[in-house]
Amino acid sequence: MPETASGRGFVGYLGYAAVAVMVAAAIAAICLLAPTEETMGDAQRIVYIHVAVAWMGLACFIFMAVAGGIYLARRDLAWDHWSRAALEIGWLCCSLTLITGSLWAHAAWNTWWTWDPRLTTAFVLWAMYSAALVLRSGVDDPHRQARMGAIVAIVGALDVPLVVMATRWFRGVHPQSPHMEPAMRVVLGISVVCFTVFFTTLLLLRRSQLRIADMLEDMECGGLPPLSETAGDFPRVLEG
Amino acid sequence: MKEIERNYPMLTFVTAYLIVWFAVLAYMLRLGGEQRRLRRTAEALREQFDKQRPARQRAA
Amino acid sequence: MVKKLYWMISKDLLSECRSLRVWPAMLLLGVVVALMFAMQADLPPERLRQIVGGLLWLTIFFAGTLALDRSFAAEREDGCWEGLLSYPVSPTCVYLAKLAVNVVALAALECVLIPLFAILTDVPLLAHPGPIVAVAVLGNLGIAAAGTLLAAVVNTGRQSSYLLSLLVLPAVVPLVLGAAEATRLAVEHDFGPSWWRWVQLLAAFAIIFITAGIVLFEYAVEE
Repeated sequence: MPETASGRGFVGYLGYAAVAVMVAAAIAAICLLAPTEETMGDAQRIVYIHVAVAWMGLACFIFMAVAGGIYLARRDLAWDHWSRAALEIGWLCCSLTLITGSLWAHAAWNTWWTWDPRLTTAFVLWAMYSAALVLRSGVDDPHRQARMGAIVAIVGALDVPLVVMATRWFRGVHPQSPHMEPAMRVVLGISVVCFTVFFTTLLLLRRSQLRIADMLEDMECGGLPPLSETAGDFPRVLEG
Repeated sequence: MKEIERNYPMLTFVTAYLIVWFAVLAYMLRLGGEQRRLRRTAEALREQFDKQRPARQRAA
Repeated sequence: MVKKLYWMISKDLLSECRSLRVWPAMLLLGVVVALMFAMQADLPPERLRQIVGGLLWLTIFFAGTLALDRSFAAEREDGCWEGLLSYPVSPTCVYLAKLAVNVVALAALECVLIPLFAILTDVPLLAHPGPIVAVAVLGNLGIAAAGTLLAAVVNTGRQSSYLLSLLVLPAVVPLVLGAAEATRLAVEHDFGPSWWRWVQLLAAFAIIFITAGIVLFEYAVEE
């Protein structure tokens, strides 16, 4: 039973520790390495996390749409696990994008919200995420839930290019490519990379958790599988 | 009020990061709770499985 | 296929004419909301000119959602789903037929609302009807395309229908915004590059939503 070998557990913990170190490094860079901006002061540092979670929210939606499309083609619920995990992480990131952006906006423009094109399309994205969550929670049958989730994800993915190009195609107040010192760009890069790794780790964890949950549910409902098949299952599940 | 005004940028920055921190923490705690629930289910199933093992071995 | 399409469209339109399930409610809602907006928008003419596009399209959207939601209600309530699905038409055909019916419904709504807004707010919406009609047709197509697909997604489940507005609104916000802006620019006779950009956005969305509907509809209605 190779999965229960302690080597895997150790590698797992090392991986989690590496992610934690990366997040700590990013936070340290944001607080210490990045220079303080003159006009906005420390509030400008919000941009480092805002850009990271914004990009993650967009990427998760695209990922969810792609996973949903593959599910529709192959009908393999494993793809729906990826879709559901991306939905949760993406909703979290999109909400954090709106909140951190709003706090930054109040510090920069003295207003919590404005219907600028980038903000409007970002809000639409958040609304599609929320609608997908509500829709999925109302359906019990896993295949029907997966189907509906896939359709809503694909329809909503049409908004993602709008969010990305909104500052270029329409006039608005959201900064497009603001002037940043080299040190700031470095910190921005560090922040985006580290937080992407962190949220991707959460995505992987959540997806495997969903897979195990579905597997256990199948076992509970359908009865226990034959003797030979479950030799490795229970220890693997309990390893977490 | 003057204190808040003077330190407003710092307070905004700290508020934003605290919100992010607690939101992520809440999500991770939820994942942990879900993992505990799955572990309990798995162990219950394992007990059931072990109890039925002799009968299944006889049948197989 | 054109014959089947024609048959399905005429079937739905005839049944609507006979039973009058949806259109009266939709038109009434549109008129009531338009009146309420007109009552509240007690502004000087220049300001009114700027917001009438938004108010008009908001009204069209809210009243139109009623028609979109009910587009599959007849099948669901009378148990005709199995009948429709077992008839040898491709799901694309069903989607295009429902889309056409919804487009006609929204067009009827717009025929009532645009003159109504012109009368209530004294904004010359009908002075140069060409651009307004073009914007209305494109916005119509886009909203109906997205709405028909999402109505199928919602109505085949057992959720209540409030969910449709929740789903359609975010998908259709760029369209409603674009149509409102294009109407505003048309009213101000500003047919410069920004008007064309909005019209292009509306056309692009209409094409994209219709394509998405054609591709995804069969997945929405399978059992």
